Amino acid sequence: MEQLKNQFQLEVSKKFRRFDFHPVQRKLYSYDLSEPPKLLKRFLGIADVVIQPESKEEVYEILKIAKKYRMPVIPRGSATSAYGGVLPYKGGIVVDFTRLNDFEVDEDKKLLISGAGVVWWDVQKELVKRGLSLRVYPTSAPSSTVGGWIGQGGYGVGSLKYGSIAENVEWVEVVDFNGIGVKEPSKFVGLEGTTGLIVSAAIKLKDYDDDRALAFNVNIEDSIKLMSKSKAHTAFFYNDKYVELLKETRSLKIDDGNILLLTFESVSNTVSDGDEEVGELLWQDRFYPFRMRKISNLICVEVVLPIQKLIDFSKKIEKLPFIVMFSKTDALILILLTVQGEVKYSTWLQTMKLIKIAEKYNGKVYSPGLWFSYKSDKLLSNFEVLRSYKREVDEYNLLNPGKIFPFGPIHRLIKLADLVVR
Amino acid sequence: MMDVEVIENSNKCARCNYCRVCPIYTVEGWESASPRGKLYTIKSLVNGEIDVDARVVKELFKCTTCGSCEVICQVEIPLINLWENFRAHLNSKGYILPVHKKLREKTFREWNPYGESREKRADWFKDLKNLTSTNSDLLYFAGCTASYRTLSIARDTVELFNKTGLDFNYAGVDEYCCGSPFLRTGQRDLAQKLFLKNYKKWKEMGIRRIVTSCAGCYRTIAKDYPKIAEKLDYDFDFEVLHTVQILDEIVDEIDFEDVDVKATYHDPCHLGRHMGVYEEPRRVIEKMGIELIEMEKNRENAFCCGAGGGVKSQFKELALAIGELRVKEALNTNADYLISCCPFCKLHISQSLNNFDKNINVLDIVEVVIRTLNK
Repeated sequence: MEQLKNQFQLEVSKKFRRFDFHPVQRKLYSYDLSEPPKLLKRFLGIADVVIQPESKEEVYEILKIAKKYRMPVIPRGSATSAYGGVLPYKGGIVVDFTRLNDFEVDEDKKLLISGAGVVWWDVQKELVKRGLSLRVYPTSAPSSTVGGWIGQGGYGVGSLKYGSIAENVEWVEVVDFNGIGVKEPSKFVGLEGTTGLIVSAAIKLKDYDDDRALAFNVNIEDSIKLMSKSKAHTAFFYNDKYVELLKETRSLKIDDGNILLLTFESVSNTVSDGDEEVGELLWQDRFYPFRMRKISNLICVEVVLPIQKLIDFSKKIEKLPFIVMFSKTDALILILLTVQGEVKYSTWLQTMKLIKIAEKYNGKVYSPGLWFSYKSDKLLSNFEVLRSYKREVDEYNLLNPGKIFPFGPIHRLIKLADLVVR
Repeated sequence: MMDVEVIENSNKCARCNYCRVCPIYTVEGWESASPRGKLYTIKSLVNGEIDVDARVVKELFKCTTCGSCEVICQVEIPLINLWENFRAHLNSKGYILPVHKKLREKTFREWNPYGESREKRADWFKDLKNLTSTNSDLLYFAGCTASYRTLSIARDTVELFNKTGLDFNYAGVDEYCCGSPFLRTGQRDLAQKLFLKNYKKWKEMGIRRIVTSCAGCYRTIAKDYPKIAEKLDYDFDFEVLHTVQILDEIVDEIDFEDVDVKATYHDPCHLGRHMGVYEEPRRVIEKMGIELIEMEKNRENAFCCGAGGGVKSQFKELALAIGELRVKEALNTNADYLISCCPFCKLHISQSLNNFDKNINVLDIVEVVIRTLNK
């Protein structure tokens, strides 16, 4: 065993320029934003090695080594998600994609051809200089990577008009055990690298236009009406409890009560009323949901519901601070739970209770990741197709095991807790 | 015992990674080098999940204390203090990096971290002696770098004071290192010793106001000395200024030549993010008739030169790699001059320029003022 380990280390050292076996570095590449309770932590492994590939060919070399030594491979961008997608659950090789950070722009086709490690906001700044802009980007854009968000899937800024990230990816370039190739994105977006490692992608762009943000003091019913009529590209609803927290943590000069924020490309703005000053304040704040942690440790629960169920669901959570981000058809709700001291199992039960309530309103957890992989068959409409593809390309279940496709004890433990929660 | 504040604040980290703006992380690219990674390391050490070893200590000292992480932090963790407090904790446990230890030894011998002879500290001033007034309560504090490395800054400052009729006094060989390198690297005992030596001399001289050319000295004397004084139960009733603040006050009375040059301005971290002095140098540059072209990262988002926090001394290549990134930004402006307000930034940026074909004149703001005065 020890000999095999030495052989593995020697081979990694010979093949790659940027790698690290130090225990602290390995630990530092074994977390994300989630705070698992001790009970779950004991089932989580840590990385055996961290490698930073500098080309897609190196990514392929990593997979060859992984297959040879039967080591799991865990892709990692900026690790800004909280679903356990980047956790080396069973140990293995953590592949830090941040060095694949080249991009080019096809101005005629309005496409960004981006390496997986490119940070969304870095590329947006460059696009703006060329009169172009991303159509959608995550609210963690100042640090999250192109590969990270595509791997995670979901909604972001711009999704009201332009849809989810899945609708904005033209193609992905993927490395699997068979080689490197350009593929149609549907078997890879939101799959956390379980069906292949995304090394680059083509992202749809739009012409740049100044954003104009307007705020409205309206309740959730009127927010839905206003949002539906508007041509906004982004709509956020902040409930009164959230506004209270915002005022406390950010010293923002805004009125009490619920707020709807609509943001338009200035050419398509047809709404004339609304508070521009508050709108701009909240718009500038869109990247900073964690500012609330300044006053207390917080856990975020994210659920997605059909918009028509939002009003009823919101009544069930009205005592908690929450934000809604609208897409064309769905509402992504981010609910904040205050935690005193460290995160305990009971905090997770509370989280699951909220998810369960959402499920009663046709809602679902935002992403399966590791923690909710036992729900994947319900969350992904083509789950069986994906599972059979996974078996086809990943014979030994080495591509990010335990994510999306349930494996090991963690999903069973959480499923058990799910059964207990009422 | 570790500072409770350090523990509480390291637990607050949201792990959003917005602190990737860190110059060390920008160059090194490993989590261990990022502020987020360092906070997680501290948390893991506190929880007994990892052990301290030489590598861990080294990683924790890879920080220029530039404060860009503190500016961007969503949770508003007072990170500069946190890094300094944790380094002090490591020092108290005997973890000190070899070059930092050497700086300490040199300073105990000669009262400057360069290890230059104390007797030569005021050599730059020899032929300017007649310009001082022993009656003045305004002290010029040149600092170690301007006294031993970038002498023209000190000389030009004195010439400027003379030309504008500003009476000042100077402690000569009785000026001691302010202690900044030791506060930043957690060696608080030595910083306190240096405080006491300077303080005693200033009181003997009847000083009320102190003006310094160095951003690091300015931060230390204006922000750290009052805290040390409070701890020791000393009065600290000095007014502390950076040269650029004096310049900003008198610039309207100065007669400048007409110039046709473009300049960019590098915000020293200790003057900008640490002390909030952003507009004064810009006003002075504009009043001189120089066209100011900002670098992409400026004011509170300015990129560090790479020298501070003990990085230049202990991690030379890393410091130079950071300096080169800043030089690239400056060269992209196509300016003729890169102006700054810190001898240490000037020294390091000039050295970082060595590997470039293109050139830019790196000068302190006082040197530019002297060059553009109407003769």
